Amino acid sequence: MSATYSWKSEDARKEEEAYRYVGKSVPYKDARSKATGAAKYSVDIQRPGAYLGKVLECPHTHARVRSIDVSEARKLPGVAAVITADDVPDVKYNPAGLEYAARNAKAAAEDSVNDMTAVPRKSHYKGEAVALVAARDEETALKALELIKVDYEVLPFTLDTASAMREGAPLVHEEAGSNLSMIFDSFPGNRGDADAAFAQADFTVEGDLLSSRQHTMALEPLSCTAEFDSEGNLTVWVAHQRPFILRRMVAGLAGLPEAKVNVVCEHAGGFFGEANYVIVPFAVFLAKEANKPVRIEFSREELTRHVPCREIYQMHGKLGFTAEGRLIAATEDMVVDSGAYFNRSCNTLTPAMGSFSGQYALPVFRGVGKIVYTNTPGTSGIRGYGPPAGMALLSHLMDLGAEKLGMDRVEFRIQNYRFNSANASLEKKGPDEHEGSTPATMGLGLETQESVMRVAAKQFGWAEKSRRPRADGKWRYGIGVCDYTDVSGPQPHEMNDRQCVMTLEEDGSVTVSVNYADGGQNLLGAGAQIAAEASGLHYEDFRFLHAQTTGTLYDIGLGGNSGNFGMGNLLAVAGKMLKEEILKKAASFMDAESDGLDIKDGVIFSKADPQNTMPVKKLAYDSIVVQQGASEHISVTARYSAFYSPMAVGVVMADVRIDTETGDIFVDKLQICHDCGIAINPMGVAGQLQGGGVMGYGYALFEDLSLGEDGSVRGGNYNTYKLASALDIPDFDVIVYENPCPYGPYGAKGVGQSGTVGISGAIAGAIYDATGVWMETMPFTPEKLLAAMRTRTMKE
Amino acid sequence: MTKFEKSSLLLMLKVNGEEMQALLEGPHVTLADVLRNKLGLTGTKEACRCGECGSCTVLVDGTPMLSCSVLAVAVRGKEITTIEGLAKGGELHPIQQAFIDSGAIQCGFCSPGMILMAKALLEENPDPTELEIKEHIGGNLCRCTGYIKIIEAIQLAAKRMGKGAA
Repeated sequence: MSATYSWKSEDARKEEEAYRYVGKSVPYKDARSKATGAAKYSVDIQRPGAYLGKVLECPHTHARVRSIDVSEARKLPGVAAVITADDVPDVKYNPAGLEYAARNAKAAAEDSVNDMTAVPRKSHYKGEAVALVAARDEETALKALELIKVDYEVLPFTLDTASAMREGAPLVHEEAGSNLSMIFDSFPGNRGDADAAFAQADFTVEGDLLSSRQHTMALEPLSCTAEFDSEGNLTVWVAHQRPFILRRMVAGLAGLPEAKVNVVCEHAGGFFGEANYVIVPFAVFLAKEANKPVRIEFSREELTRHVPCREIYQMHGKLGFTAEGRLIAATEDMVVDSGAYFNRSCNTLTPAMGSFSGQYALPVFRGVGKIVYTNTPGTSGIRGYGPPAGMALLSHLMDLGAEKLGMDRVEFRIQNYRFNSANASLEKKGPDEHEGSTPATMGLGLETQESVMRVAAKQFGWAEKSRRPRADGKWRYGIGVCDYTDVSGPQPHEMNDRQCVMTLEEDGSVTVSVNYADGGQNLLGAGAQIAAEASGLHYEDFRFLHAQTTGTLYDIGLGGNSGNFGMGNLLAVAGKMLKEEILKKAASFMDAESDGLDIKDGVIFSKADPQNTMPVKKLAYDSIVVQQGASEHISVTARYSAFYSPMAVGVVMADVRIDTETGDIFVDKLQICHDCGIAINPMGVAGQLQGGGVMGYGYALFEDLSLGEDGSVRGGNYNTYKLASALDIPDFDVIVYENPCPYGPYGAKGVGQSGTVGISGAIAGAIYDATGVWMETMPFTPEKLLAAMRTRTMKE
Repeated sequence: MTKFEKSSLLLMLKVNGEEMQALLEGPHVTLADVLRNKLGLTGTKEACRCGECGSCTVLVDGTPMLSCSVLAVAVRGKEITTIEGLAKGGELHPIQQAFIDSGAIQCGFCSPGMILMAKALLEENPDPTELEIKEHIGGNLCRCTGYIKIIEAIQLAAKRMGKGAA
């Protein structure tokens, strides 16, 4: 039976007592439309007269198109467009690079590689698109694909980073001159001389881990509809997380001004990582050529081929300690299999190294990542965005350190925290005062680490379970702990800035125009709670126009726990501004000074004379309809730019049971304790941690997109890619830990992706505790464990 | 490629208590396709199209079926209930309300199938155990919630519906 617990600090208790909306588990804002089937997802968009787009996939892993003949396909009745590389601009781009460029052109130039084209002239992985068609129905589209004649020059291919880096390996991108696309050694948290520090260390520990191909496997299939109107304006319906970046990409590719492109997404059937750039250009170019609306929907199998999986890291970690077990140096060497395209390889490395190097007091760190092309489907950042596998390795290395000294793993970690009860400098510090402060390792928010660990250990029964026998017949028992840190929005923190327009309508309700693609995080609900708290109006008063770029203001989009922190802060600012404007207007109606007025539950009142009141609804109506002279629609434009990205901290603990005869791993208890600052909606926080936790559970134990000997995705549907079902989930306890963060909206920090981060480390640590086996490749399956246990037995 | 003769047919279906008709390209068209693309009932979702995910679950004479794997012509004359047919006159079904109140809906893509599965379960077994709930929805995948709140929602609905009947 899974349970949810709440732990609040004194500060959290005190602050929440005063709130009317923050801290309440109210139903999510858009749940009704989803419960009734009314909610429209991109895949539900049916435009009149829309043609169907289809992709011609290359049957080879690596092949150049020598020539392509589409004349027969074009002649087929019912075909409106056939497109090859000859029909699209020869422009190379990188959707992730565009995100960087949105804020920092220098970083974009240094940390990104432009290597994608809308339709390539060769296939870089098995099944890549070499031609597109749009036809009136599926049968005609498939017939047209058959009529396209392609002459391929089949090339040798390379599927793993080791062979890709060998002299004479086939080049995935010839123009790059090498498969080693980048050596990333400029992580801003690199500090000190690691080799010298290791020489000073009393002991060191080392280990390796290769992460797996976890796929987002969001339930909504990826689809896109593109339509030009008679004025040449383009509308694109697609699930997205970063609408304005996508708008810029589409505008650039289609040769349109940005404002002529409208990117629309009301609801998305799960995100877990941006993926739409692999389908949007297809629909746009086909719609342009066909002069008709065009809709493409990837089948699940097409989707797993073309939508990138999680970053794949081959990691080697090393920690150096003093004789007392104080960490003095760490290195993390990573080889990144980026797949066929560079994509987000650099973007995910920064948080990956940030978590590895920022978890403990650590004077010296060196992280180096070699980013390597292979002829495999692409990789990208998905939920957790870099850290999850690295946190598992770091956690294992800390276990090894504790083991060497015979110390308890929990106490060993606590003694290495930057702030702990044995450390006199526990008082709250600003970000610049922290030891080793850099944008990526900023220690803000780490003050609660020891407390979170102790709350977790107590609830879990860590001490009692530590004393339990490890063996009983064929069974082995073990417990594991993985502490983690996670951001509240991407770093550099400028990537979290937002703006909105908040308007008081004549009926007293509020319309908020803010760009936000709903992928199920309930940011609109949490945002409405925050705005209601800030303005004195009701939660139900807030309505959002959020679904399209036209009519909303530029917004960097969502990712890396940025939503609740960034948008929450924005709506707190906007709510407060709206309240000020309402009170200014009310002053003239109520014969009072505006600073002598306040609003509670939608009613304006005089603080000096509580009998002097006016409903906001009446003020709104009178301002627009009744008053003499010009109507006034009270409206504010608010901006928020995150200067900080405080660390959200948490601890996962796992209790496992191993069948030594079969290698089967049973997780009897999984527990996550996460410091979210203040829980705006505790039900939502628990829901995010549960969902993220189960995704982490799959990542640890069974999720892996299997590739064949030619690099093709095997299967690619839910029958071959295992997703946890209701029957697979462990008993999973969640502790929502609250202690207000001074920089968050009403004290909140990030939570959305954090559930995923520490699960693998806790489970792997428990398996090691039970069996003494550290598996160096994810996922941690019974087969691998059984083989490793047998090898150990033979050695012994 | 398989060749087939064009043989359009007019199909009458009873969906959510209403007689509806759809012109099909042939007898090979699935129920999910008819519901979503001919009748505009897009509340029924499709995530895998091979009977693996449960998103397309609808009730046929009260029994849950995967509409992606059922030919539309095979359910002629039967009562089909989709998610759109659950709320009566703007009043949500208690299971829908329980899903909302429990926070069991995140992205919402699996919710129509889950809610209809829950309806079939509670009609047969008004007071299911946690394991019975897990077994019943074991074929319906969700990527967002980790299932815990979905299980809680079904328990809450059972409790509320049990009270209503008593």
